[in-house]
Amino acid sequence: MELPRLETLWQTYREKGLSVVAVEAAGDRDRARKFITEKNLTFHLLENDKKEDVVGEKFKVDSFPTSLLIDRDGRIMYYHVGFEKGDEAELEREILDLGQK
Amino acid sequence: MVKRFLVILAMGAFVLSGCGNEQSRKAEEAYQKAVETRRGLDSPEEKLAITKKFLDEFPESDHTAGMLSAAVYYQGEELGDTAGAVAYAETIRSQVDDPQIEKAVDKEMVGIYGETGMVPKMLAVADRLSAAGALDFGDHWNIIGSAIKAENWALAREYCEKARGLVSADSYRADNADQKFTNEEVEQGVRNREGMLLVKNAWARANQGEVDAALADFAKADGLVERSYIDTPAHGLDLYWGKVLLLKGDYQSAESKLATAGLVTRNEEALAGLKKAYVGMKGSDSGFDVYSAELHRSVAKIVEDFELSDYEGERHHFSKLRGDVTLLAFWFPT
Repeated sequence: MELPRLETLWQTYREKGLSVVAVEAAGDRDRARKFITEKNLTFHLLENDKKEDVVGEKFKVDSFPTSLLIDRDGRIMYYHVGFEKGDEAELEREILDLGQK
Repeated sequence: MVKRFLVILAMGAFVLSGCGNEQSRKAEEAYQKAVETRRGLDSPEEKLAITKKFLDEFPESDHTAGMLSAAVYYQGEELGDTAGAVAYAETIRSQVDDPQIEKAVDKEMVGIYGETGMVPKMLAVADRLSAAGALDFGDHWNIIGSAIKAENWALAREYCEKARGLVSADSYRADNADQKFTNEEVEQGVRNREGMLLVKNAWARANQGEVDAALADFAKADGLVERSYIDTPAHGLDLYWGKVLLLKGDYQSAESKLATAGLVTRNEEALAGLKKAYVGMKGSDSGFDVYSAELHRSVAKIVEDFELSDYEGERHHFSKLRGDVTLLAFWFPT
């Protein structure tokens, strides 16, 4: 599961200006809520609007998880699909790298 | 295999299979239980164990193919034991007799043999499926991908040609019989199929020396394939196109094709290509870091704002939640 790892990243770098926003794509409120409570997630958690479909229509995302890193000017500097071994380290490196710019 | 598995996970939530007899009812129960248990697990070892336990107990069920795909993913991709994963898949395959389940498992075997570079075995299974009229577009696509990975350009082109026979609304609907697509979605799907075949075929052509024909095909595919939010074209079009432009010595164009893939999605091949283009233009790689940092900022798409609710029902503008660095993650509860 990738979200608990995001919680760790958020706890580590929140003081340094990292913000984490996770959008649940399926609109499966019960399952999402259960998961969020079980894993004690505390960053921003939003649910996709089924009608508007921000995830699919606006962001054209159909593989999960998909992660974007955005700099303070709103530029999408990193875009990654999936979460395999080694991805977490790469994500952390990119966060640190962006934070220094 | 990774992508296929992600899609299967996503679909799994919607698949409710019918139960004919006592045995299949038991299998269904065991499957639901196994999947539910697996959801709570973090380590691939444990996920693999629970998946294998189900398959060993019910080697023949509606879920054989899907669970086998998952087992091979955990063992092969996550734990790195490819040989063990293939051997396990063969053991399960040998226990299947039902023609429908056999077909579904054989489709997985095409992917498994292909991913692991076992081309002759992959083709033997493909021929068996083809003779039964069961080789769909996705199977052709898997074979093309494996042929390219094995640098077997003639085989890639052969299957692109075969798959072209399936670039039609009827084939698209038949391959997606479980989904209700609108005419517009079918049209988009067919266009995308045409584009994806053009991309792979052009890459194979370029590798056989037909560089100009390949460049013409890439340009054609550019108008057909889907694009991501950050405007990268699907199926690696930008990467293949950029690499062929490098061959041609057109460094400026190569740079524009490779920049986003190399710098934003951090594709290593694209980044290496970008460096080659830079060396081609400047004569050496001195100054590449400064140049690539500047290029990175200039190609990065600006994120658009959106508004969604949190789990207390409160609405939020994304722009208000952003920090110095923001991680925006889209997830799917599995």
